[in-house]
Amino acid sequence: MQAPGVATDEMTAMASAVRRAVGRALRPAMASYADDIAQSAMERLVARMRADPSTKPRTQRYLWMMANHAVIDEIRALQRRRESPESEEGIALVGNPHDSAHRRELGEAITACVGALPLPRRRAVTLYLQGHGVTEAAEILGWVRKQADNAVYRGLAAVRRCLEGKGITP
Amino acid sequence: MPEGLAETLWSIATGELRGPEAEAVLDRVLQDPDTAELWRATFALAEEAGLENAAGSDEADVDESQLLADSPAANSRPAANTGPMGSRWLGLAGAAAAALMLVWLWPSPKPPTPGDPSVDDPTVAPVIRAVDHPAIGSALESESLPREACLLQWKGGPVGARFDVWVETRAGVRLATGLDLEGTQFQVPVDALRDVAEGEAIVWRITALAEDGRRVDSPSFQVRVQ
Repeated sequence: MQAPGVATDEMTAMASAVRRAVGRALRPAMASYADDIAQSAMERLVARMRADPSTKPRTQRYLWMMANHAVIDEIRALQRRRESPESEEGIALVGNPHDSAHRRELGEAITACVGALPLPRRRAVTLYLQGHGVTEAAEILGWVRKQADNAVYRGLAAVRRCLEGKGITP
Repeated sequence: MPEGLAETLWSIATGELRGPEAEAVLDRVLQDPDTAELWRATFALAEEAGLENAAGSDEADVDESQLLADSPAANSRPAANTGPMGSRWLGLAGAAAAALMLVWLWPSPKPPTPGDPSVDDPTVAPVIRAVDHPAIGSALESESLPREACLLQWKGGPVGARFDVWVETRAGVRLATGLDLEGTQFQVPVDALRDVAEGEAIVWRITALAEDGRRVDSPSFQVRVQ
């Protein structure tokens, strides 16, 4: 994949990174689209670079930001197709319908329980459930680490109680 | 999608945007699986690029693991694919990840291992995890309790702490939990003890959460159920 002003091996490495990132980010039901999204995102990135043969230097940071924008655009396009039942490319969630329904109920219960938390704890727990460590959550929120630690711990405890109240246990 | 969400997400992921601006986006992540997906994609790519501000910053001094300490869930996060952030890809509110998230949410105390002196020998002194507060100890005056009034009591721990209580059989089967308790006692529900035989010992232990965020674990105690 050739892009103006960028070495081929650099683009190849970026394409691999984009593929990995997309694969990790998509919901499991959409994981089969990861390759297509990554490919389309890279094509979109190259097209944008060709359309804008700017003389300003393209730093690594800039390139990655552009790649991210392309990825976001592609994922959004997929999300729109999924939400559009009349689309010829309509996307159905894969998997056993019964399991999907059960998981959806679980997801809704978790969302409701997390959503019922006081705002600071809700944000901390949301970050935690997205996979961010406590230190990272504290940095994102602009908190001291102890505050995030406490919020996550108490928030998780409250979510567990809430789910147990709904009859949901491991 | 509002204009600039991609830019905003990228700025958050690369550490250029923190605090209230990040919180506004984060509030959408919980309610909107699509936004959550974009959030994850952005952080994943920033990590791949080595630009993620906080990537890998849960340094060795971080006791984050204690959040799920003694928990099978601590080891049940999604497999780390690449680097320290490789485990983050749970879709909050995404149906498919809900079951896994459920496991992740539920810490369970490590079952007492056979031969653990704190279980087998009630005279063994508890391990003192910190020196500025009394260690957590059992306040039970009897070696047995009636199942209808199985009131576990303890003493010690940091001033102002709240407590989690874990109750299990000696084989490690969880019977009951009490979470975020203000007091120093916990009544084990009768129903939780229905499969416990007369005279059989149950194991219990405490985790205290101090006001400053520290967590202090007690040793395991046992009491027989009559």
